[in-house]
Amino acid sequence: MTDEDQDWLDALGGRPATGPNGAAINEAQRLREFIRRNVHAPGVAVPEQDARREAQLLERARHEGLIDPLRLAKRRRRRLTAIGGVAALAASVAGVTLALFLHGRPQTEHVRGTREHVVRIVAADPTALKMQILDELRAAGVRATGYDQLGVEGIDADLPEPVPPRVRDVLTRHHLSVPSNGVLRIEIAAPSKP
Amino acid sequence: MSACREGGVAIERALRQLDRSYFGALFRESLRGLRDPESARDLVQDTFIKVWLRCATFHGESELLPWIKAILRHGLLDRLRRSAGEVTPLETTDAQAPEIQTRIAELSEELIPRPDTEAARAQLDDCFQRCWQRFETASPSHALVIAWIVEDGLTHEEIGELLGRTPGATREFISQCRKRARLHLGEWYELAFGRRETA
Repeated sequence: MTDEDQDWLDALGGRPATGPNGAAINEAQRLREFIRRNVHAPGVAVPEQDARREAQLLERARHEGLIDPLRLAKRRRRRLTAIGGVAALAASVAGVTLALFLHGRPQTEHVRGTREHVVRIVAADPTALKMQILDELRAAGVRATGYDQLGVEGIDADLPEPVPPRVRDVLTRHHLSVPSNGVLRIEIAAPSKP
Repeated sequence: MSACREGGVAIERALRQLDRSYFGALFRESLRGLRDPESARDLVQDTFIKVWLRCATFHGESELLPWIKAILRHGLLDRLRRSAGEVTPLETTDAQAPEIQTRIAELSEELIPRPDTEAARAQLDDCFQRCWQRFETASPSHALVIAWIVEDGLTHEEIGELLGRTPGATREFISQCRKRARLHLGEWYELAFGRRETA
């Protein structure tokens, strides 16, 4: 996003836009005027009270274990255990990743190209590679976020400007170029089956 | 919310109250993005369950409805992302790319608003409604976020929270929102703006 986009956003949100981009501000103000006049949530009539709807909600809450105090207590314990489990699993993954890294074992990964600033990588184990790149970026001081969308593992990271050598090292290790806009976006998928 | 924290039988009463107070507003918001009443109802109920699960994190520092709405909107964008049309909402397909890029370049020239007259405004409103409908169909996430920015003055940070993305990825998304608005509302842009003459 450029300064122009920031001015556009401020004007669109009805905030005083103080930047020098008059055209972007005019554009956003006009767009705002028309959206306010023409775009509204559907005006469907919804009864305030609906016994069937409430019954469905309560059934769902019961199914989730939210109403019965005993099940609720169990659920809370399970959540705590799960959080502990995830922490332990994360520690294990980090350990294995570090061990692989230190032993220089090559990770089977192929950069398949870049489209719309998104680097696409094919790897045998996308989750493990995502965790590895995330760990390495974070260790290099980069703010990086991982996500999973329909079986594709992804990473978003804002790179510092200028990009420090240790971050460049991470990128080089994974055959990645420094993105021109400072935003590193990666999608990792498993190889397609023949 | 205090009933949610206390637990026990008070929860049933609290959930009913939640439903009676907020279902209508949330259902309309949900329907606007999902366009299917059954899916919209499902999302609202899903939101109520999340509200209950997260009630311990609500400290009353803001009003309840905006807090619940933010949870609903996050879920709504997530569902739209998962739907077939918007698996990768920031991208265009290869087949579309050259045409779209050319169109965006045309519309990215500096624009100046045309003066409004009463008759022209009616024509512009009509054109805007048609274009907006196309925008909502083609890029529902971008159209929704733009509408929310106008309605609630969302900031860059608030948009990032809704998307669950880093500041950089959020900036890119906002930039895409602007480009896609120009693309899908192109007909309206042409009527509503003139191009600045170059010397």
